[in-house]
Amino acid sequence: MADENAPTATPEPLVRVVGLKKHFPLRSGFFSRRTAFVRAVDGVSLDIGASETVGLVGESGCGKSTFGRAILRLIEPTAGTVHFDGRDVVALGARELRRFRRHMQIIFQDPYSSLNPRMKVKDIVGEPVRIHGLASGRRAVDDEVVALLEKVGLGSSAMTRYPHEFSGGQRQRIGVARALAARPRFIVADEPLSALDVSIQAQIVNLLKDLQEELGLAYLFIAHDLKIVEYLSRRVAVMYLGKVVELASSQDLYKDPLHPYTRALLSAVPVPSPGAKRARILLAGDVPSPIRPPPGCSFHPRCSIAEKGLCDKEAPALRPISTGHVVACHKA
Amino acid sequence: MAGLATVVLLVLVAVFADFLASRLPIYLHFEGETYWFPNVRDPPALRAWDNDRLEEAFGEDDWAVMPLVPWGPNQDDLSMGGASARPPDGRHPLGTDSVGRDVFAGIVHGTRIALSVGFVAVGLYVLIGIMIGAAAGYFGGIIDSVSSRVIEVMLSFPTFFFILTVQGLLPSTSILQLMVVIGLTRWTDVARLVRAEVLRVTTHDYVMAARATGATDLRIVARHVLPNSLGPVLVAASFGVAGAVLVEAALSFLGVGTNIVTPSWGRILNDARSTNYPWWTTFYPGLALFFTLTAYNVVGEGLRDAIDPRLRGDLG
Repeated sequence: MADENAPTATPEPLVRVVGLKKHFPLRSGFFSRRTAFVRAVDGVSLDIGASETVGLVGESGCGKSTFGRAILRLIEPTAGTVHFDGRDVVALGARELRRFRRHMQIIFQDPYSSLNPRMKVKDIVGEPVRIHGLASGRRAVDDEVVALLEKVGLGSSAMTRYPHEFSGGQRQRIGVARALAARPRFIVADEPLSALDVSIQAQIVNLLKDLQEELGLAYLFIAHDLKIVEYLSRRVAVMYLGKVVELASSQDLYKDPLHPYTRALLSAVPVPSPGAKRARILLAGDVPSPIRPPPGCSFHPRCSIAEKGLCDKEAPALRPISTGHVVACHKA
Repeated sequence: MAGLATVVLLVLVAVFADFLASRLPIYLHFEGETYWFPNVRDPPALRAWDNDRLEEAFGEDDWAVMPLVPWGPNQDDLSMGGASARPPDGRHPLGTDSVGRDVFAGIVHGTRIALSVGFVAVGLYVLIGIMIGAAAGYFGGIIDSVSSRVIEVMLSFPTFFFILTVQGLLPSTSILQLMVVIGLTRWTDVARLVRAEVLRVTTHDYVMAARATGATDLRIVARHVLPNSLGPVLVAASFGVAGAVLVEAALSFLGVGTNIVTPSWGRILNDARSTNYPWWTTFYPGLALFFTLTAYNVVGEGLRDAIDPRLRGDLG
C-alpha cells in the first residue's frame, strides 16, 4: 500500500510516513466515556526525500497541521508509523525521542504566540543549542546564536532584546533561527506565512529557499496559498477531511489536476490579469464533520461528478495515474 | 504608591522594632562597662535590668542612648502599683494593657509577628499551590482529576473555622506552627489560579516549540509555562498576606493563635477583653491592623491593574 500511495523521490526517503492516523476522542456524559472520534488525520502516507520540499494544501480543518505535528510527535499519533532516516519515530521512548527531536523541527504560523515573551532572543535561539549540547559554555552558545541570527538576516543586536520589540516578520525569522539551532535535517513549516504581510511573505519564502540550498533541509510546507506552494515545492499533496486525495509533482498538479477537489481549489486561486477568463468551480455546502465523515468518498456530497451508487458507497483508494501522480477518485 | 510606601514602612518597623521599643538601651555605658546594642543582643549581665532601673542606678560616668520608647513588649511596668490598664501619658505614649505592658511596644513588636506570619504562611501556600496547580494544569488527566477533587474537598471547609479547630486540637501553639497551619490550609485558591493560568499558557505555540526542541517537562514548566503564569499569583499573594495577618490577629484574639509570650496585635486585643475594653488597647492595634490590611490590598489592586493588559494603556 505504502509504495503505491507515495511516489518516492529517492529510493530511501528521509521521512517515510505510513498510514498515519490521529483520532481525537470526544468524551461525554458523567463518566467521560469516549462516545465518538474526530478523525483529524485518517490514514495518510507520505514520503519526503532529503533536501526536498513537499507542499501540503487543503482547507482549514482538513488535518494539515495535525498531520505535521503528529509526524514530529508533538501530538501522539493514534496509528501508523513515521520513519526518519530509517528509524521509527513513533516507537521511540520519551528519553530517546527528546534526543531525536533535534533532527526534526517546526516553524509555527503565528509568530506572536510562538516566542516566549519573557525570554530574550539569545535564550530562545540558544535553548536548543544548550539542550542538545551543540556548544558548551556561555560564549560558545552566544557565538552560535549570533551565527544563527545572521543566517536568518538578523543582526547580533537582537540578542538581548525581547520578542515584543520585533515586527511579525522579524519574529518569524527568530522562529526560523530557533528551528535551525538544533541543526535539523527536516523542518515542518506549519503555515509560516499566513500571519505575515505579502511583502514579508516573499522575504520569508526566499529565506526558507536559501536555507534549504545552504543546509540541505527537507521541508513539509503546510499552507493554503497555492501559489507559494507551487513556487516552493517539488511535490504537492492535497488533503481533504483527514485524507490525501491527490499527490503529484507540482508541475503535474497545477497543469493537470485530476481530483475534482483539487480542481476546485485551483480555480479559487486569483489570477493576476484582470481580463483573464477562468472557470470558477464553486463548491456547494460546507466541509462535512470529521466526526461522522460521509460514507464512500468523503468528497461526494460536494462533488459535481459524483456517481450515485459508486461514490457514495465505496471509498476510492489512492491509485497511480501516471508516474508520480496518484489520486483518490473513481472518476479520474 | 501609597500602599507600597506603607508596606515598606511596616517592613522597616518590623526590622527595627528593637530600636523603636525595647527594655534595654541602644548604647550603654554602665559601671565601667560599654555595651553596644544591648537592645538587640540582650547580654546576660543585664538580664535583671531595664531602662527604668538603669536610669535610677546611673552614676556620674554612666550614660545611654535610649530607644524611642523605653519599654519592651513583654515588660510589665510595675511602678504603677498593681496591674491596671493605664491611659496614654508621657511614660507610655499609647498607654498600657491590663498587666502594665506598653501598648506601643506591643504594636511595634507585633508588626514583626504579623508580617512574618503573613510572608511565611503565604510563601508556603503559594509554593504548595504552584506545585500542585502546575502539575494539574500541565499533565492533566488523572493528576488533574485527583488534585481538583482534593481542592474541592478542601474548599468545602470554612477555612477560618478549620484553622481554629486545628489550633484548638494541637497541644501547644507557636508562631511557626501557626504559619504552617495557615500555609497547609489556604493553598487551594493559588492552586486553582495556577492551574487555570497553566492551561491558558500551554496553548501557546512557544510551549510546543520548547517540546519540539527536546526540552524536558521540568524545563518547559520552569522556563516557559510558569514565568508566564505567575502574574495573577503575585496579586493573590498580596491579598493573601493581608488575609494571613488578619487570621493571625483573629486567632490570637481568641487565644489560640501564637503563645502568650509572643507579642502580637491579637494578643493586645485579647487582653483588652479582660479589662472592659479601654479604648487605647483596642483602637491602636486596630489602627495598625487597618493600615496593614489596607496597604496590602492596595498593593494587590495595583499589581492586578499592572498585570491586566487591558488596563496597561490607561496607566501609561
